[in-house]
Amino acid sequence: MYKNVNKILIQCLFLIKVTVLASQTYNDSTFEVLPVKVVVVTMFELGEDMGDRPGEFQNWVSRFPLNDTILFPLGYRNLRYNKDKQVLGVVTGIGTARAAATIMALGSDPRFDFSKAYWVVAGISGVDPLDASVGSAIWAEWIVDGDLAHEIDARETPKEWETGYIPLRKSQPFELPRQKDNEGVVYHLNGELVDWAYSLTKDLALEDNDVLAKFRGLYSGFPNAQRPPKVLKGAQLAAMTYWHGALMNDWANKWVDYWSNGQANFMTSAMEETGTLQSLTFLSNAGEVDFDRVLVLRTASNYTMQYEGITAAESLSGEKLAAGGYTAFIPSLEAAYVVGSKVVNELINNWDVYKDKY
Amino acid sequence: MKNTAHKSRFGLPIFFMIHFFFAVGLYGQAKENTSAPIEVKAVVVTMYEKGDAQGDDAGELQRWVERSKIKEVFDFPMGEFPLFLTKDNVLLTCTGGGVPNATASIMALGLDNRFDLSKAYWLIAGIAGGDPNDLSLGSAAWATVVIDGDLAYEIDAREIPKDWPYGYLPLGAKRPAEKPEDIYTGWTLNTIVFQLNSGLSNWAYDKTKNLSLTAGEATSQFRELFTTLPNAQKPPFITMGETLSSSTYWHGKLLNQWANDWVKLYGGETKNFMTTNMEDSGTLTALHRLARTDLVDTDKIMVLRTVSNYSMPPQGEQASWSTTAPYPEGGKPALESAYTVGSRVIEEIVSNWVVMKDNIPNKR
Repeated sequence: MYKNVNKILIQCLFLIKVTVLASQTYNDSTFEVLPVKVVVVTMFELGEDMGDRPGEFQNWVSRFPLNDTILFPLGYRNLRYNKDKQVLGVVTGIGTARAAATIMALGSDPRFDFSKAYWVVAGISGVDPLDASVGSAIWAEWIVDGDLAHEIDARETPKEWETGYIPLRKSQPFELPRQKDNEGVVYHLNGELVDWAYSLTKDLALEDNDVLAKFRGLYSGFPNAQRPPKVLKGAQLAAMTYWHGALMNDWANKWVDYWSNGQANFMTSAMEETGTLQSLTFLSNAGEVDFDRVLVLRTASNYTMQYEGITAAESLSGEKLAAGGYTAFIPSLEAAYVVGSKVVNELINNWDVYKDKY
Repeated sequence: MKNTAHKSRFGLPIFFMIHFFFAVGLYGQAKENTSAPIEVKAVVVTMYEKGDAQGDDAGELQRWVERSKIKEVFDFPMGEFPLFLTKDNVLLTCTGGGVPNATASIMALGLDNRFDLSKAYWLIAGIAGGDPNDLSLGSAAWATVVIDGDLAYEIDAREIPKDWPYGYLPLGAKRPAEKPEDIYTGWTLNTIVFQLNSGLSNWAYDKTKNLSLTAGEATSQFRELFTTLPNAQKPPFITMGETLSSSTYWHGKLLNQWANDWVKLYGGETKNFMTTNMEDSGTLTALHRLARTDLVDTDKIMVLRTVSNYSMPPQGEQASWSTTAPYPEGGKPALESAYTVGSRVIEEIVSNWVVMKDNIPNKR
């Protein structure tokens, strides 16, 4: 019932244009191309766009807001748009393949002009307790793929190996020299833009509460994991494989260090960005988008490894966590919106400045 | 205005009534170039090429390019190689390695308004790791299902509970799955299992099963190392077998067991893991999206993988050696098989196009 009322409300409030499309074909219809200043890229949403249990999209839809729904059958979910602010919101779907498919479909969509658009990826993630606490928000300049690798079950590797993961076309873990053509493993964003976004947001107050405090308190021996949430800068490891545990966390740190030639520190673990960035790279090569205008923000909903006293399996399942699993889910969604929208608002409110900057 | 010369087609036969949608021109813009899109009969999807697509050492794409009569070459900035159109209107593409590349460039190809792919058959033809329990070097397997092997939880196997067989478990699961129902965790994604049109797979197998495949001396010496696995020792042959797709190029006895279990869990008890590849779940993700607006027909997709290497070491050898050891004969028997078997099916499609355009063999 509530849902129906809500839908009617949406119909009344957000009725922009009634269009009935019948048997037109693509080559006999022309229309105005919508300008886009910023694309907000989220990865998942639960249920409806608004009014129910939120995912990454919901805060943007209801608070930014993104009132207009635009059909997007080639995407994962319909788009949302704010025509005054010229901000478009997309949900890619979970995993590298869905992200690559959605972003390629969007970037190729002739209904939009992305030539000046900034792309702000804003989603939740795992976080390395060596660096940050749950509820924190982290801007990435470096994104490294964690799937594209050789792998041997670690029990079947030589004793001296630290991991079963080997860079493609190498024969040992972390073998140097690195391949010149990294084959889509490494993405280095526009450092100047990332630094700008970080500077703009670094002093924002992020949500903190008793549950977060209890959760981070479990990580004794990890001082950075025990601090209240804050805005940071650090690299993302992107993999469809949702790994967890102390040993893989060690691998993640070394893997990011290896692929960035020591220039980046692994902080967040997520499942989509190398798909998104592969599509944006191709689209940029074709002149459709500007890869220098991409920002990646991830906010920590959970840690990437166990605290002392429980096993990796117990930590992954959340069974032994004193406060239950995913305790930072809602605060991390909030942080993604607070930090992400600060940047998006700055861009659109001062478009004269940013239109041709970066 | 945007340059629309390479723009997508959004010819959606959708009549929608949901009037609260802000329906800005659901249909794509008129092309500036008014020539009709080329009706493509089949797309050959390859994944890997060394150097250029012509005139040097041949990978998957080059064999097709050099052995076909090429009518036209198209720039394709959304992929790693240009597109090649044969005189029979068969389009040849090479995605590059890995799921991200494959997804992005197949999506871009499907949206490319220079081509009409709505009637096209899709042949994914590439080399792969082969399970030595089932296949030998140079052998070819037609799949009926593609299963994703990246979308999983993982814990390093050295820190898993003692009673776990390996560190891979379904997303959202608390322990490795034992029964098919164990994969339904509340976090089950619909891009893990891609059922192909098995009638078409059977047809392709039937048309190719008697072809003779060849391998050289180095290959036969290598396969003899698998002394306890009779299928691994056979001269190359053609069969039906399922493929596991992951950006992670895994190898070894323990993960080979996981692969066999994973394919049965997600594909069904009758499905047998035979080949491991790095792209097909991405390609299938893109093709299924494109099918939503009838840009492609998912009943016309075939997946052929040929064995360049085994997915685990021979008895007594270490995975740390065999994972990255050079492929016997540089993988040439598998590359040749992919072309020999794949091109037989393409010939069949082209020569029977009048019928096959609208009639899929053994349509499910």
